[in-house]
Amino acid sequence: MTILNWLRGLFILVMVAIVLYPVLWVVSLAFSGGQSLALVSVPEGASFFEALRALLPLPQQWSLANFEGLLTEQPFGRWLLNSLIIAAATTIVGVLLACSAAYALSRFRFPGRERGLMLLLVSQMFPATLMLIPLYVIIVEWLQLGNTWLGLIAVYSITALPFCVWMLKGYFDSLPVDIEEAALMEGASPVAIFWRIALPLAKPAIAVTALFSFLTAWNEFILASIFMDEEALYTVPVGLRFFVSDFSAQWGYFAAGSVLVSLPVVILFLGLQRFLVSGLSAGAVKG
Amino acid sequence: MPDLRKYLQIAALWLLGASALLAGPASAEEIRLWHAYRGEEKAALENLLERFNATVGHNSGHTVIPLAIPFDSYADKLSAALPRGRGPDLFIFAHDRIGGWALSGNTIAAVDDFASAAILERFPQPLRDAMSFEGKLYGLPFNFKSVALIYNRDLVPEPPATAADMLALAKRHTDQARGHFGLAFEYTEPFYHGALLNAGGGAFSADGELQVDSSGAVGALHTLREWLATGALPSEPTSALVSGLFNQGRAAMVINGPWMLSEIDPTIDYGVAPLPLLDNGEPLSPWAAVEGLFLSPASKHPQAAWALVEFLTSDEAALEMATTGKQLPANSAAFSFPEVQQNPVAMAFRKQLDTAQPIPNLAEMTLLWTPLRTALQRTVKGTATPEEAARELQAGVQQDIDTLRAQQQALTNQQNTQAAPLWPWLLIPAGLIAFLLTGTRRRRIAAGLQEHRTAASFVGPAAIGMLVLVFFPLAYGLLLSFTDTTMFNEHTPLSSRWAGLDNYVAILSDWRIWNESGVRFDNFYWTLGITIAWTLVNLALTVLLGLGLALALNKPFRGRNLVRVLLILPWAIPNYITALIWKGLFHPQFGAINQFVVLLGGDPVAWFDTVTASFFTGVITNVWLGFPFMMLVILGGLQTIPSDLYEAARMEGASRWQQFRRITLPMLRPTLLPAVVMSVIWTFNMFNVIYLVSDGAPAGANDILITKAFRIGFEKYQYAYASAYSTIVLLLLLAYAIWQTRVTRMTEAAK
Repeated sequence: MTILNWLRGLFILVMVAIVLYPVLWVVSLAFSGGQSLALVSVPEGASFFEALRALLPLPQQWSLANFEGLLTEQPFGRWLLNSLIIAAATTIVGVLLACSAAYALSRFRFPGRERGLMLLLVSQMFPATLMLIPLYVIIVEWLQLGNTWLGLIAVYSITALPFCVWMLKGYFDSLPVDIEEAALMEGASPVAIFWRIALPLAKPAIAVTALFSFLTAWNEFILASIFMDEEALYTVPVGLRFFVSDFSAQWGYFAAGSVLVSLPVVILFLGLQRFLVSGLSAGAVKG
Repeated sequence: MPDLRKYLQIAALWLLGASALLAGPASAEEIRLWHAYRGEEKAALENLLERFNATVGHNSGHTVIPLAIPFDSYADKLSAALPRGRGPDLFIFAHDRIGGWALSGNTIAAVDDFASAAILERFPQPLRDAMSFEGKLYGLPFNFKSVALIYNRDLVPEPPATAADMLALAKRHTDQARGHFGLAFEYTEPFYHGALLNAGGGAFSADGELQVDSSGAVGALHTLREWLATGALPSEPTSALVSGLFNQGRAAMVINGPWMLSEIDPTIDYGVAPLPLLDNGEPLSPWAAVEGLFLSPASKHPQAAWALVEFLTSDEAALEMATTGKQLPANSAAFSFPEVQQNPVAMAFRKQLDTAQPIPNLAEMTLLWTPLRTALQRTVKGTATPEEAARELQAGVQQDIDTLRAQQQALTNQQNTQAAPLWPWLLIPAGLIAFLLTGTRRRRIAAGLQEHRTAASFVGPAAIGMLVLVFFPLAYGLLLSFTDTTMFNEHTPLSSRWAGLDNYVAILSDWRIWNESGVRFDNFYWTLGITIAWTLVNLALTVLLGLGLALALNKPFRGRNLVRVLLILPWAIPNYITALIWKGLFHPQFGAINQFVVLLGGDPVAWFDTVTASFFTGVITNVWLGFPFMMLVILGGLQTIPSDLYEAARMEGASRWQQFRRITLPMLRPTLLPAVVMSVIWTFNMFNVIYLVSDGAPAGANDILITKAFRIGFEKYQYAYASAYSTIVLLLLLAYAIWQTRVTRMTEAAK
């Protein structure tokens, strides 16, 4: 028993170390004030512990220069705000669409239902790079939504849909139908049942899909930079890529930006952690 | 579909409830300029534009609106916008795309009518030539860049005059045990190999024929091998490694361009000199990249845009670019201003230009980069002799060139496009409808819609969104795979490009997996095998790790919430940087992983040299990125298992292992399955990790189908072929998904 507990603790410790090691490289690069990815070299004749110290990613000196540069050289705050608005709107639109579609796929029997579910999977199977030009044609030329937040929000919320619908549909499947049937007997409309009964019960799964939609919009780079024609409308991932050019890259700025960009996501994780665990479980029960 | 469009617009607006989110359209008197500058160069450009707006622009009633675009998406943005008349009036881009753009049409405008002889006098002849293609001038040169020798003055007081001196000096400053090297540069990058290659006659002959197997080109490979044999150069050189070594005083000399200067540590006293002479007295002749100013053929204000081009290449502007922007202006006058003449660095790069050669701007050049990189890696690693590598390079690239030329030829011969079958167009929606409706009686469709009105209203918005923004582009991609579309005929009507199943036949019937020198890594079936192995290994490892961690985390302990958040971090940080950090960790000489291995008494591993080791660099990175998702899914699954099941089992005396086998695993099945299906699909198409970490090393052996499709599409311009590749990926995954659903249903039915 105790041996097992020790092993468990050791396993967790080792995994945390493996996860943290590259993350620490990013953090130390961000706070190093320098720009080049650090090198590791153990000095000759070093003792075991000196060698170990050399392998720990700690910067030579701590500096906030990269963060200062990042926030002053470019309108980073503005881009952060754009990203927050787009990601938040994507989350709302995406979750609304996914909830209603998933509810119908779970509760109603209609032609094309099974194949619809399969088509959702199919949509994940084709590489996004080849859909760039047609998407440009649709969003910018046909819908005239180029250079608007709306265009990006539309694309992102739809891109996140397949995963969200699958997750939520599974969750609705696992919820007992008794309450809804009783409500139906008492004359409640399907829409009212969906809003008043099913949605509140599905909160945990909604938290997961919300997080997924948020991340989809939060990290997307290529479409954001192709659709937007004004620097003031760029999102954070676009701003970050400025530090990587054809011949060289300012990895210090990039790392500092990555740390900043990860913070909202980590905070969101912290808030949703409780929901997240039970949400994923129930959502995946039947799939 | 005007009605649908309107409906969508209204629906989208309603959803957001704010028309204020729409940005206003551009006004008519704006000149739009796109560029990829940042930092000092951007500041200089913006100063100049301000000056222009206040003077020339003010007088003619034009305002320049600049837009900076990240380099990584710049080319994509241009090729999406320009052919559709939506791009800028004017843009700044490297000159080596001119050939491809000129041949494909609708992207850049010839400017012979605008450019007067007096204006052209501003530039040295090679830079003027760089902007010309097939006798036409396509823009003016703005700035140029080439590599030169950058040396640490504390270690190297005087730059070497000859290559022999350089190597002797480098050897003296090399101490591999301490991680010191005399000379560092990215010798496996084609751009840096240019210095040797051009000294041996260049990649293309004067009349544009490929000659990478000429005696000069083979000699360049031999010279590179001789340089490496001195041991004075580090292995696996990347730009981060080169600048890192130089900044730590561990590289006495580097061959690099002006872009490195801003990254040099202020404590390093450096100098710049032109590259030395080879032993035969010929100069090393690096490639120069010229940033040109290009006009869009769709510009509504070409006159005003040209006025801006003339302004930006004026002497006054050149001085500003040289001083504030720290650039090397194409206008020679820049280098006669005293401010610039007193700058030895700028003058050294200017002197290097005399022996540098602009990168050939032929469309064929783009086909050469990746194969040349492979040839360089093979030569350097010794898996091929210079002769073999050069022969294979010549044969492979020549074949791609012939394919493109044949098509160009066909395009020019085609007088009237033949009437093409219309049915392929109809096939897509028909197939989609058939797919949706088989299994139901047709007569019931109308009644069905009525009957399922509630369901339709619930699914409708999502379905319409998916149809317009996912399935339409997907159908376009599928359609493309039945054509022979390349960069050159993209603008011709689709019917004239119809090629039926040719692409599929070409991919699937190529059974030549082996040839005399081993496995042909660019064969479809090899890549398919690697992709399947990649998916299976990743899936197995993420599920195992996720399961182990979920079980370990399932029981409460102090700090569990914190551990859970820490373990989720790989998901939260942009994977672009973490993947590159992993690539750094795998570096054979300076990576932490090999240092750990040595510390524990092992031998360093050459991670990117063998198929297996390189395969695992990708796998380790991807598992690191992917296990948090699996862990969360399983952790959640564990919580749905009622604890009384375990209690009952314990009462009956079941061991822990039996409980795990009999209760945990079967109860987890329904949780895991959807996650596994999604995971298989995502891993199969995991582009970033492969591209950023191993980049298919060695020699493309570890490319998966999606990265291969990307290379064919965007490095060889064969869009249709890439599309067919992707379609095959889709069909394989579809088959898998159907099989998985069947199996699940059967096992469920069996219970």
